[in-house]
Amino acid sequence: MSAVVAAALRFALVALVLAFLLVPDAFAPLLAPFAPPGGAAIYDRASLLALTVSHLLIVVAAIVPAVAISVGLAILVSRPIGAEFLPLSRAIVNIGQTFPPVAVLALAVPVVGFGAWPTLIALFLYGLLPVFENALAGLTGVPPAVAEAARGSGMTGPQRLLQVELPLALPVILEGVRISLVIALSTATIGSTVAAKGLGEVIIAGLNSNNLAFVLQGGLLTGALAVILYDGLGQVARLTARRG
Amino acid sequence: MIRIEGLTKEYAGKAVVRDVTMAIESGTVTVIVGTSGSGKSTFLRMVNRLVEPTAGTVEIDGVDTRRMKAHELRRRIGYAIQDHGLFPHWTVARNIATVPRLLGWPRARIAARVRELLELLQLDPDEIAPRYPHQLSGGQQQRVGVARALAARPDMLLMDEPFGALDPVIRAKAQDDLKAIQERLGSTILLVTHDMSEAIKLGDRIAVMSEGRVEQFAPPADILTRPASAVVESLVGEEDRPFRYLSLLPIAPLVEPGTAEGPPIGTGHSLRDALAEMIWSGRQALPVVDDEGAACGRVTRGALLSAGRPPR
Amino acid sequence: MGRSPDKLGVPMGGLLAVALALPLASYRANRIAPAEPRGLFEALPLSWALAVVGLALAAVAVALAARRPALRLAVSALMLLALLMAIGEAGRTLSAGGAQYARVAPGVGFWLAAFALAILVTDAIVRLRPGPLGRLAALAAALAALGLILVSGQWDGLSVLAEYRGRAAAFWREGGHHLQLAFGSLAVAVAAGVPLGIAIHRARRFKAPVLNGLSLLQTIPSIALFGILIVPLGWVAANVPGAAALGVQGIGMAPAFVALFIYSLLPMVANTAAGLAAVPAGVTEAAAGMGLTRRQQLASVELPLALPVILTGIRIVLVQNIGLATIAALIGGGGFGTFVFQGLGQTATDLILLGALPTVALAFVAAVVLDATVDLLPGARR
Repeated sequence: MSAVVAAALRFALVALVLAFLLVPDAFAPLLAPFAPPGGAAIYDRASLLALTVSHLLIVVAAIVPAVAISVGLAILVSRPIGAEFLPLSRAIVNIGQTFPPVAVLALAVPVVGFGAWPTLIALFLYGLLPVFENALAGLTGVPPAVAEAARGSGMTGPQRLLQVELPLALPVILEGVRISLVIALSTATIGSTVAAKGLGEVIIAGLNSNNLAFVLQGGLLTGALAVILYDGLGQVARLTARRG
Repeated sequence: MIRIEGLTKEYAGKAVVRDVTMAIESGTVTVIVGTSGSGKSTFLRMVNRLVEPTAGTVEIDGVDTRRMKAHELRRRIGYAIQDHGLFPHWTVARNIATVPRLLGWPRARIAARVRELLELLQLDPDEIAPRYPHQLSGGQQQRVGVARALAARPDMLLMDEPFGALDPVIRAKAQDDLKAIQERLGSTILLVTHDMSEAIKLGDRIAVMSEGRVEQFAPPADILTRPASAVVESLVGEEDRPFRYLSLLPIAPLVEPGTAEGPPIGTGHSLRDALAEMIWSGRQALPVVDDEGAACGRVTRGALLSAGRPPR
Repeated sequence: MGRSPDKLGVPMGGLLAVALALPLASYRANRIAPAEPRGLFEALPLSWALAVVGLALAAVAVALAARRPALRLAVSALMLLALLMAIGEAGRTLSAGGAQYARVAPGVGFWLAAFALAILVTDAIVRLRPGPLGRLAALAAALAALGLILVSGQWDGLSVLAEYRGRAAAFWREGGHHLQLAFGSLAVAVAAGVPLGIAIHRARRFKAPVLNGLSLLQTIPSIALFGILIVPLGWVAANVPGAAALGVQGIGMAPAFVALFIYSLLPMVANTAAGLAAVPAGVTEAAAGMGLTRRQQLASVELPLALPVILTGIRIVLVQNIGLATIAALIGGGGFGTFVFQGLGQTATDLILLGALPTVALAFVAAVVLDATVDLLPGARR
């Protein structure tokens, strides 16, 4: 029963977002009360669809390498050869997570200048930590009896990794990817302050011109995207966990 | 005296304990034995109202427990459970002091009581009292749990699988200790276990429970020799029955004048101990000595075996 | 003896050596002039430069060959301190000679060297496995060293401090706003979140819906939530008598405060419920069986045992709030973010640093202090 309701809500939210992106003008009457007198109700300096696509592209371009590298590093430090680095890497992850994403973004600007690059770098760096932490937890959290059984049945190190440890750790890793994605989506919104193309632009334009209609549509759109992505990845993680 | 009348507990219309009636004499040990799911723990928890009965009454010394506030009732009843449930953030002393503090005893009286209880349970107060539960061995934790249950001199003691988490050697020792303490203090104990040997060893009376009903409520010898139902019989176990029965019988009545070869056995031992010694040392008879070690006769294999045949 | 070099020492020692060859500082004739790199020997008097090189070589050698963590810690911490002093000296040296508008900032060499040394220091501390008090002592020592450097005026030649001198009053005012936002919303979140956590622990039916709802709120990007809240709070300010007098406004601190509170709820509620759920069943059973009333069970057994997990929630919230409070500047809520976004707007790196460095430091200190507090709790060794 509640599963049906959840599915209906999910579908409705996706449909609403798509409708808004494809025919934003249809929503103008709803937003007009929030626009200043004579101001536009729908953001008109760029197409909302293009901004959304660009926003998502930046997120994906940063998160894909972040996932690859952090899973690789987690595999490395969970092997005997990298075991020496395990405590240090835990400490770095712990400290790294105290760095606010905004600070990382702002500090990247002096190094690489304005535009998409500082945003990409900040998203990439910030995307590393949750995935690394979860991958490490998943890989080192394989039940000892299972690890022992895998060794006892004569699997080599790589076989254990590919056939036992990674599949068992997959749901936990996906949860990390999910957290990284949500943070990235949020940080990419702030990226607009350093001139990256994204939905933050709409909110910031609204704040600068006192146009609450812009603030609302930008805010609700990014909020809805985050919820859809978070929820969607949660579904994927649940599927893999059920199999495991 | 505890009088239990028609005690029943239903969950969603399904009876877990059905219409249990029994009377428990003060100063005795009553053991509830049954398989898991037999309702024995639920029954026990209705006595201190951790579970509220669907029907029926519990009277302690003539007072209906429903007329007291639940938490006040519980402060008058000691409670010890399988994984001891010691509060991990409190020291041993503070754990034992739980109920006395709730009752507002003066500080000095609590301190003296903690000391007395630790000594009673053969724990060194100076060493153990300031420790935290995680710094104790399993056997020590269990004893502290019993000390805590006894702290406020309760009217009675409820114990739910109190030795369940212990390994066999420590378990046997803990059972002996509990028996000694009970004899010394004359406490009324209601103890739940799934282990028939434990029930026979500790119980003055045993209640065998199955599917929420009491199948039989009788002294251990009767449970062994006259099981009331197939369930009781299967719990007793046919192959162990004679030995369990012998373990209930003391040597003293079988002592006859005469002498025998080899090391003696004390009158305090059971016939099972005597038989074991006869088999192991290949003797037909054992010399018997009393508590002071003075020779008082012998016990023969023939007498022992005929005593071990249950009355028909 | 044929010992192989330390596994971490090879990359970090190498990085440190490379960093020395890169520009230590960057120099600009004035605030908007292009930056010019200055190497170690250009930026520092010869004696300083030689001392830095000497110490760095010692640090590399120790990183490669030494095994004892205490020695590794001492040498890399000393080298880090020397580096911090040296960059101040570079500021003084480069802006000497009458260039009163000259701007000196740390260069890529400084940042790389500082990074390598920070990793080496962290590694040495991790290998020493200090207890909570040891970690607090290390933090206090680091803060004291930093404070001394600042007070001594050693860094006065650096452009970040030039920016600071220009807005000292604003810096402390915004710092105050930042702390008000972070701690104030934390306090409200604790006051609301702990009871809510207790409630959903008791009424299990509501646990999943409440936690799912709160985590959905958590996913909404911060700028979006800050912006969305302007609308209802503006309405409240305009229509509820007295609200405006209490400081409720559509823009400013009020929406920022509410947004931080909303983000704080999930960690507080989830950790309170998780902490209570982790209390062993035997313990709650025993507490009830001993005759503790429901309130006594909660106050003297369940909450004390859940405290480490609840405190971990507070740590998560505080670190998160200190970071997110930066965004408040975008909606006029003040805080260190003011300087970050001003700096971004003016392409003024030093101004960005003036806002970002205290934020990072605050979050770091909050994390270390709260982690140590959790470990200091009596039940933590269980």
